[in-house]
Amino acid sequence: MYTALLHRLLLPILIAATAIGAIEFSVRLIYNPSFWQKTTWLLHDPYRFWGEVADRDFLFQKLRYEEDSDPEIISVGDSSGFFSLQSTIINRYTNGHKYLSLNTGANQAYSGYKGIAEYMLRRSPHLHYVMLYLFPLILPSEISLDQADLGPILHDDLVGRTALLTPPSAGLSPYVKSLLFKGRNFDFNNPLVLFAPGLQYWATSKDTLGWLPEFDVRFDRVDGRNPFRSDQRSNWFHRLRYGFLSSDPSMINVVLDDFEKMVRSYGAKMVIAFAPFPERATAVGDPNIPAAEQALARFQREHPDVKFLFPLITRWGSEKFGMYNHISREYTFLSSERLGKALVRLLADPGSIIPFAPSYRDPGSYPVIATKMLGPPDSKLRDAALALYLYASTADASYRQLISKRVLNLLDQETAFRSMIEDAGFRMASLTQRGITLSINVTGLQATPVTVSGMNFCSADPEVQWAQIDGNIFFGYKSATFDTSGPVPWPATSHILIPTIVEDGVRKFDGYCPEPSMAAAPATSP
Amino acid sequence: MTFISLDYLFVFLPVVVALYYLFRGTIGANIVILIASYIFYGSAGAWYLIPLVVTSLTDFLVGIRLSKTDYQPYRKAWLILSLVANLGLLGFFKYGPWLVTNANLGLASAGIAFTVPALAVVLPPGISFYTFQTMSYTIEVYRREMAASRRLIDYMAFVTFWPHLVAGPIMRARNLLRQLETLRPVVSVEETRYALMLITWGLFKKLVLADNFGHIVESTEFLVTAHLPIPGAGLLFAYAFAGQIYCDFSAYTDIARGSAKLVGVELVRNFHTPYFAASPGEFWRRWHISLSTWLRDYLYIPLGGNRHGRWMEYRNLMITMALGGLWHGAGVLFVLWGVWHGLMLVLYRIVPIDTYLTDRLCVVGKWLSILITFHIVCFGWILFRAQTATIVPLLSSVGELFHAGDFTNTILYTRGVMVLGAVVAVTDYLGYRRNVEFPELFRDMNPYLGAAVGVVCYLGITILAKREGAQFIYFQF
Repeated sequence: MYTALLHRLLLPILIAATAIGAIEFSVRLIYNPSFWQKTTWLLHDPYRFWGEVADRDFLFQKLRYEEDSDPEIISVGDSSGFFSLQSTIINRYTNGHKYLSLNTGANQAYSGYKGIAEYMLRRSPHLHYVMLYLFPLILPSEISLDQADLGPILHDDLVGRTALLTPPSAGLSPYVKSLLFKGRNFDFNNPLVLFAPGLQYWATSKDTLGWLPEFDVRFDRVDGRNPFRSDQRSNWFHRLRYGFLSSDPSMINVVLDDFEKMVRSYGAKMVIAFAPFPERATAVGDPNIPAAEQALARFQREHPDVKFLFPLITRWGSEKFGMYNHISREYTFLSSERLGKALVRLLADPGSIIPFAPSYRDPGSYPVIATKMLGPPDSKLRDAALALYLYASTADASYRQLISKRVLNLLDQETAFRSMIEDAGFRMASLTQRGITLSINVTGLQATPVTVSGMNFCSADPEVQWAQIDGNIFFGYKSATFDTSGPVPWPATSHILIPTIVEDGVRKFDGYCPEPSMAAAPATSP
Repeated sequence: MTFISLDYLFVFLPVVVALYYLFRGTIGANIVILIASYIFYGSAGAWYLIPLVVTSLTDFLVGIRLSKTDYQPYRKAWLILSLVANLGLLGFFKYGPWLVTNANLGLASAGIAFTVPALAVVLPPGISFYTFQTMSYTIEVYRREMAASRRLIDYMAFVTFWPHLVAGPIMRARNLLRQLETLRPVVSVEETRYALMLITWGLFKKLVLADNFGHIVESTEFLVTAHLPIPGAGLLFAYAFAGQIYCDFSAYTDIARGSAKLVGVELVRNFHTPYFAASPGEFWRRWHISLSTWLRDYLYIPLGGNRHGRWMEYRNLMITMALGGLWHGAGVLFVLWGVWHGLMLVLYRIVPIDTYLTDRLCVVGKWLSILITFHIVCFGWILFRAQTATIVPLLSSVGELFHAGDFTNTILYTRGVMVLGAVVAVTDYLGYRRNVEFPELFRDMNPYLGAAVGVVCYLGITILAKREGAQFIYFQF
């Protein structure tokens, strides 16, 4: 019996285990795959037509260039930060203290954010502040955790059991799969996502420190409301499911407390910053907003060392958003400046940051906005309406010519705006050098002249002509190996209303209004 | 928890096997199996346990009642209660939402401003499997083919036995319940080795073959939907799905059989090199054997089988296969899939193509019959897997093979189908030659050769497996 057990079961198992060990050791010795070569975070599906899952690749590209750059401040969180925070601009404010936006997508909340933070804390000796930069709507809740399907996977792949157990031979996977299924060699330096914004991100993320301008379908800027989710935790089963056994009824407190504990365990400090919110997007009488504020205030009381840089709700003009949670590309200088200035205060005098306290005021009701069509679509009107959008994207001076003097005067005073254009110009030159062309084709958009009533607007010029934009915008990418372009709809139901005026006989963009909340922030020169 | 998770392989299974042997010979052994099964199943959603427990208890009580009376009308009433309870539960979860949606569409198209309230229920995994299994118990007790179980623990362990709970094989009570009621011998060294090989091979088949076939299935469907060029997408889709569903489902069965073996339980063989079948009838004797025999014994034969003339036989075949299709899911395409197989079974009854070809062309005829049957099955897989919106483009893409210019994607996907298909074809052929399923060859394999196969499977999994393996297909049924 024992001889049979030894010879027919245990010994073969032992030999197999030894062989596996020897193979793994040899692979480790000869090939020595890096974390990113062997991680299972990247799927390497040989038949995925558009390549890697974009969210996975976005994080990979961010970390591959910057994971060892030893930042002092990082932010993790949802896409409100991914699309809206330009680390290169913010770093112009922080007096040499390196800030890095590692915001990804809400589908990686909150265990994913925690995983990224912990991954960086382990390898960054000078990382002092870990910031949760969040869109207020995506505060911890059972719904937001349910929707964050990638969160636990990311945590596991970066700092969990999978990160620990993935063997060296897994590093051969992309190479073997590519050879076997595609008959060609795999190279990590080639793009992994094959649609236009993904290719753009691949080509620029090193320069932008992992920022990508939004390429969004537009949300309804007039009637789009976004009710907050309940902070309440339901039954014991859900508690087990989300991995938090505490009986605390507040999901916000449980999740933030867990995050803070992790950050503190590495000797760093936690900071929380909320992204701006479109001015008409909170639901009237939403009971979950005051409840969320109460939960945050409680968290602040229990964790006085945690700094809240902004109130929960800071309303910004709807025109500054692509989706309701993504700042449109021409206004990311503002969101970056907002955070940059707050970080200056945090770094210089943390005690000056006032503790979080509830401050939300319900709008009661929103003024009715009405539009009336005045005539057929006009291409000159369209070109003027989109001038700032295109100028911020390309730094092409010809678009600057189509921006009103009032707006240029305001923007040119903004250091962050100048930085954004400077960075865009640098990026374009770098791409041109590499034979890459990014294109934005707006001929699929139409601009209809309309009258607008009820809309907040800062210019008193009576000659203002509003344009309502709708149709398809095409983002393109062209290089020696790729030539792709794809449409993004800007539906008429989004009510994209942009003011223009005529100056010197030319129709120009006149849609920029400064944000009052920015004026309230302390002025700091980079 | 699923068979392919590390938790299952390195924590759950070893702990349960160890506890089983600790309590072996006592009632504790089945309590271990029962608790383990509830943990295994409940980890996907605790509320899923409610219908499972309700079904189990109902049929246990019905079994007791049936055994306590000889009065036929009472017995019949108890049996009907069991059938109504099981089929009602199945209908509520599986067909209720579908019926409500279609009813509302019908009402809307008729201009009636009334909507039936939607049923916001999630289908408990494997509900079709365990309801059929418990039904078979009450039917067998009713037919006096077995005595009713007297020990609730044994009975509950039979219904919930984790290795086969979610995706079969559908075990007859007289087989599995009897095994669980008796003291099973300690599993021999050979059987343990065989069990481990079944699990290892099952993992390889699922993670490397099934999931990579799945990539091709999803991708071809995407390309067709997006109107991107891929002449012959329908063929590639069908071949890839044939590989995916076979490898996926048979992998589940292998792991289930291996896991059950470790606690001394034998689960029935569910597959027998099905793609080497020479006729649709033979295919159903080789594919999902536990379901096809269930349908034969509890549906086809009670309907009359082939006892009342040719036309009644055809009718019974069609009804059985259509309901077999509906068992898989609430949808017209599942029914059409069943009807397609019913038609082919009838066709081969009328014109035995395989016999004709084999008689005329000997070995060539036999292989031709296998090829024809494989394509009959593949056409069925298109109905089974595709969406209503993708069927026509998938089928019309086959015609594009003869006049399209750009074959880049076709060549790329063909490569994948051939690479993966070669592994399935070769391994299954090895089994087919010996009239067994390939994994059964492991039983007599030299242990050191088995160790080498294990190492290959391991490397296959770490290098070629789909990152983050997909769920088993049959969980949804």
